[in-house]
Amino acid sequence: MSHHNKDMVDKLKNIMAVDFAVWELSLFLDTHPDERRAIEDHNKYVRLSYQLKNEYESTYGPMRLDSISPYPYKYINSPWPWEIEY
Amino acid sequence: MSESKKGFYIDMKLAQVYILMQMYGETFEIRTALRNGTLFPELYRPFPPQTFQE
Repeated sequence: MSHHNKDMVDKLKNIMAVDFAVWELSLFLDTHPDERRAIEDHNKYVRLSYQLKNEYESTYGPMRLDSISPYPYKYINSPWPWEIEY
Repeated sequence: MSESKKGFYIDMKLAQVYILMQMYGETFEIRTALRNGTLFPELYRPFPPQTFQE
């Protein structure tokens, strides 16, 4: 499982980057709840996160425990994080 | 320096700290942010000092 195509790895990296941005902005907003631009950026990245995960899953299968699975259950077929060469 | 019997220095003031509130300004491009460990350029302070290179 060590060789994964560039598209998959690239999509994963994008998802990680977007989720990190969401995390950072949520921390900022803890202490700045009325910073409108930060909220707009936060919401922009949250929407993008959902969109990117849906795109990823439509091609490469479920990536979350709460993802809808085809038959047979497909979660176990996903590569584990440590099997991916980033 | 002279100490008072009440437990403080008569001729000096104790240290006071203050923390600036962060303002919302420019942010890193998100892939860069993930590598830098912060979204905020003003908080990117690696040691030893270096600039991030893709």
